[in-house]
Amino acid sequence: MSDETPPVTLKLPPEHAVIYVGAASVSLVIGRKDDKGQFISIESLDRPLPVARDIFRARSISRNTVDQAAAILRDYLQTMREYGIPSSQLRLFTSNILAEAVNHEIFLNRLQVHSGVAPSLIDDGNMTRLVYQIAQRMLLKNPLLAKGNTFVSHIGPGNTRAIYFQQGRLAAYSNYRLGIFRAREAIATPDDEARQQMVHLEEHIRGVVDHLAQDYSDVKIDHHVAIGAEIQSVAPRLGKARHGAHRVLENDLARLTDKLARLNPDELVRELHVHYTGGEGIIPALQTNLALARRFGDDSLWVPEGDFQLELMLDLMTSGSRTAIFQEEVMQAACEIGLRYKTDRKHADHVANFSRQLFRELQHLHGLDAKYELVLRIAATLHEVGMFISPREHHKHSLYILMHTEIFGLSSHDRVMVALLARYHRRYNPEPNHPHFSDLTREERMIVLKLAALLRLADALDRSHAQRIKSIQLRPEGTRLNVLTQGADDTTVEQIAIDMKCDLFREIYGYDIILAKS
Amino acid sequence: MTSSSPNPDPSTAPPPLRLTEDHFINRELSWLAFNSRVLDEVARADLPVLERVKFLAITASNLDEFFMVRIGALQFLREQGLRVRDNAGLTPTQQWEQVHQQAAVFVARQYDILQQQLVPMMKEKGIRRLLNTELTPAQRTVLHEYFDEHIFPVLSPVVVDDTSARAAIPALNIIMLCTVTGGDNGHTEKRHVLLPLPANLPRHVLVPDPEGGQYLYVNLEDVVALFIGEFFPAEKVSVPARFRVSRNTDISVDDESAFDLASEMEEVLEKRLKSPAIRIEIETGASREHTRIIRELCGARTAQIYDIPGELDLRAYFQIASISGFEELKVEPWDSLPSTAITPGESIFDAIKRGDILLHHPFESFEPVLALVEEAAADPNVIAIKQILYRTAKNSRIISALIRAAQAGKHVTVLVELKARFDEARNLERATDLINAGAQIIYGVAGLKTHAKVCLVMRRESGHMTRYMHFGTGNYNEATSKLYTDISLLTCRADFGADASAFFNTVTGRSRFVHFSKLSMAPYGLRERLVSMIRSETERARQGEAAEIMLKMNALEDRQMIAALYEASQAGVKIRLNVRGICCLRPGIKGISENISVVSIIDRYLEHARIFWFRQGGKPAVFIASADFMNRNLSKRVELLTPVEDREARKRLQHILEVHFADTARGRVLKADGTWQLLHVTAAKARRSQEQFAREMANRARQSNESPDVLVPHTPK
Repeated sequence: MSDETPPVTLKLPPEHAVIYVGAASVSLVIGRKDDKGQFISIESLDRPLPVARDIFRARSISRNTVDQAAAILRDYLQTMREYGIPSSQLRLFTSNILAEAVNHEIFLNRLQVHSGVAPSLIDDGNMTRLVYQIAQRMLLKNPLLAKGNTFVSHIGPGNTRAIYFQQGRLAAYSNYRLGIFRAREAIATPDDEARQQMVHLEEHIRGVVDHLAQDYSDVKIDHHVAIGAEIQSVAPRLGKARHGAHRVLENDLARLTDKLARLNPDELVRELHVHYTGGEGIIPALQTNLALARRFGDDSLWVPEGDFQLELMLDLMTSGSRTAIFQEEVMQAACEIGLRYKTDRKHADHVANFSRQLFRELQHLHGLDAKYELVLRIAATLHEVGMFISPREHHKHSLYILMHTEIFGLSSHDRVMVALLARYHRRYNPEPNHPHFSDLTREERMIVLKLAALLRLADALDRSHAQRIKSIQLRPEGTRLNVLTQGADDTTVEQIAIDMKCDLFREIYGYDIILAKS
Repeated sequence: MTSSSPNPDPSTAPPPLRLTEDHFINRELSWLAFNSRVLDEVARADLPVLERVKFLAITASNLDEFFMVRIGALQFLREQGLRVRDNAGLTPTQQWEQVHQQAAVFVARQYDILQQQLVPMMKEKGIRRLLNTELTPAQRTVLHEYFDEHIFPVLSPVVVDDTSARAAIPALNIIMLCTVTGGDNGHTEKRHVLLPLPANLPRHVLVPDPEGGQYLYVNLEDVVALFIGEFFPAEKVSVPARFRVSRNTDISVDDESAFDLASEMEEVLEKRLKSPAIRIEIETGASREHTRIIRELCGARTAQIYDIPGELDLRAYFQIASISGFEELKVEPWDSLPSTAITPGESIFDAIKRGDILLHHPFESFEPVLALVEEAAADPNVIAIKQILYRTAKNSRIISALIRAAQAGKHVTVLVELKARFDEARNLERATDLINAGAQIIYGVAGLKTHAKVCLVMRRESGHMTRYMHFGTGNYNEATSKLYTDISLLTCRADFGADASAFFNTVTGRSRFVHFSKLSMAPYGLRERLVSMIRSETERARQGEAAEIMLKMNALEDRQMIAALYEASQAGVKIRLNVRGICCLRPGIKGISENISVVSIIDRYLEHARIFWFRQGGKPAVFIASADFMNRNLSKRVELLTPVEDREARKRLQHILEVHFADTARGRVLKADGTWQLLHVTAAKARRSQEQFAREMANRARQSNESPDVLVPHTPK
């Protein structure tokens, strides 16, 4: 036996890192998977950075803030080096309020230069998913909330979300331009007395609160859940958590808010162990929650246990994977939109089912991530919403409607995909000069092409809108993809539709599609 | 809102306690009482003489520090005309006067015991200080040679008229003042000359014993006096006066504004030479004129002058206490034994992985703590080491290991606390070595002194990062670990690891403070956690449950903590306190503190551990900490409170506390009038806690040696 040393294998560490440039701080979480495959935090760092203050005060991020961010990143990378985590295992996100800064490109570029990783703006879809997941976990632990009609609000730095659950299932969703820092900067007059500031803030948020209350005026609300970094951080002061939630009495919250509002920034920082930048958001957050609770006449709020920010970071670490239940909730929300625009529900469902089958069975051909299955199914569900305006050129109307309709659980980026797929479910194939399509990267355009080809085939299979073909089996054979059908004896109509619509499929996948009876 | 109080407490607790001045003992007087307890040990006839000599040196060293730090601050307040009263209702002037009064009594007692008891006993056993009049010609010759070779070249006389005379009075050194008359040109000229004795020369100069077997020495100042004429040839030199100055060292480093703390610390060391005089000790026999000159030179008041009835600076007796030979005059040593939780030859990482290891120093050796850092430095799987250093030993093994680790390319982060009083010079020196080796060095935290004792080792094991920690109550100092009782906890619990990482991220400025799941950190919630633990017992007592608290610490001074303890006592919580030094809490006040008992233990080892035990309805919560119940610890320092979760470790800590409370040999009980009383029991019945720990440890070690279940074979390396 020789005493050769074994070959050196460069193994990647099991730890991953996420850096999140939020509204008031920059955080780093180092995490790894536990025995159940869930990411858990093993180290988390947080440093104040006045991003929201800069943006809502001056619409741009100050030079000082940019430099500070660079210094923080340098320290965080040192922590990553101590774990041996390469930049390939780092994900870097920023709050979507950054998009409101005129110089956000410069800022993002600095972040990329210092971290070696391209930052992504965390969007409403991610945030909505997180709020939904926190709410779901709370409902699971708390049968009282799960059985009733539960209204969930999340006051973020720039936006407020509302989700309404009926018996534990999503029933309505909406998003408002009302945020902690947005509100704070709008009313900030440094010389104001605490009481005066609170009055100003109340005035400022009244409009949005009324709007929100109006949206949910016709539903019955049994419980109100308040989610958010600030309210979750103070909730333990107002009562012990049971079944994963603190029950906070409106009176107690009012008293605490009043007490904290009277503190000067130094006292507030000491009292709550927060940093100055983050401390600025506490009072507006509590007051907005309070205003909502009062508007709905709640005598108490439920606040989930745990650290909102940390959960967000761990969620970002999991590459935004969506649970099956969540996907179904998103599909459900898409169906609601379809209903609003009076689409043919049976046709939409049928095309969506064919789309899913095609996506899964042709995975080896398109090689796309599972998240695009959901994008494709939603596009299939909503491809005909444009008919609401006019059957003529309805694919273009679909594009317009979907570009301007919020779909629960989808990021704005995913929504563009959905809209473009609806646009390309018929007529012209995508061309590089088409609006919106031209804005995409080459990879993204390719994804649209691949998915549009599948959607066209699925749509053609129900050309008659009568669900004549009940099911299909795919049998590739040389350059032909035989689609064996069950249900219809004569599939001439569908075959004609395929011949008309599926040249894209041939181009992308290299298969001719032949229908045959099973 | 109608209520004037924004957040009234909804619980049914009685109204908050109204505390008056009578409820507190003055901090400075309590400290002096502590030093008197140490002096009691010097007076103890049942102790071997060199042990008594050691305690004498300790009292002297303590008193020096007390004057420089505490009295310095008091004098400052007094000079500023501030009349702010302490908790016991005394103004700075009242405190200053009482302290000086009591200190004078204390010093008289020190010298009385020394001269009436220790000196004759030592003389009888062959340890003798020779006076110049007692020297034989041969001894004089030896001393003359010594003077010419070692003293003359380094001693620089300074003329008092000279403007540099003031600056030439270094703190704590012995200084001689003589009057020189006569001159080269024939006419008589009189001048006063200062001779500061260099601090680096040994105080005792050994002289040969013609008969053999004796330890004979002459004090440095006597040698100088003997040959002082050599500095002033052909002139007449008076009998020199001997004196010593203590200065205010409580100079705060304004570290908020410091660009480079290290360079500022060097300035502080220089300032220490020049800050105002707090105390002047003059050896008895100085002329009136000399006394006046000394007082004027130091800008001191008569009340600050102490007439010392014998040789100055009794700290020199440390040297005598540890002279080799004369073993029969010293206490029989207790061994510092290896922990039975660690198999000999085993890696410290494997041992910690098996379970938490609790060490009770110095009964158990400090080696495992050193091993953690030393093994980590050499272990290829260790990625990073993070360490707080406060007061390290000379040639510290910990620092050497950290340097090796940094040289080996590991990520080494060291927070060197430069604000560790009196140890700055040593700390600075090693910081430079660490920087050169590539370690990341942080000089403490702005505005706070970092006092926590924690070390974190990050080690990759089968892909996963495992964190090993040491949490302690004492410094990373292998020298003091043999003299101070302390607790160490070695653990690799994941949640403790996450907290330790978060702690280092906070103190190194990489992150703001994020909440910990297990540990508590001052100034972010450590105080609040302790208060809530005390309140929890209080509430249990109010509801009729058995409630009990046992606390061991070095000092108890913080007003809020004392108030919380009083409230607990009122509610019926049984509270036993083991406080070594300052205790501002007054036990046994009717209706306030009758359920509180306080015991202080002064014995061979300096009691230094901080252990906090709360009954919690029979499932005790036990903590170790780096902090005392002092305002400075809880509000102005970075400290750690570590819960001990291992069942066995908790039981051991409870045992340690109970043994201390049962100490009838070295324990003294604080009475309501503020005095401390020894428990009078017969020698046969007396229980001595430190002795019991040493015995128990020896038994444990013997048992584990006698019946090893693992044999360790010697294998070729």
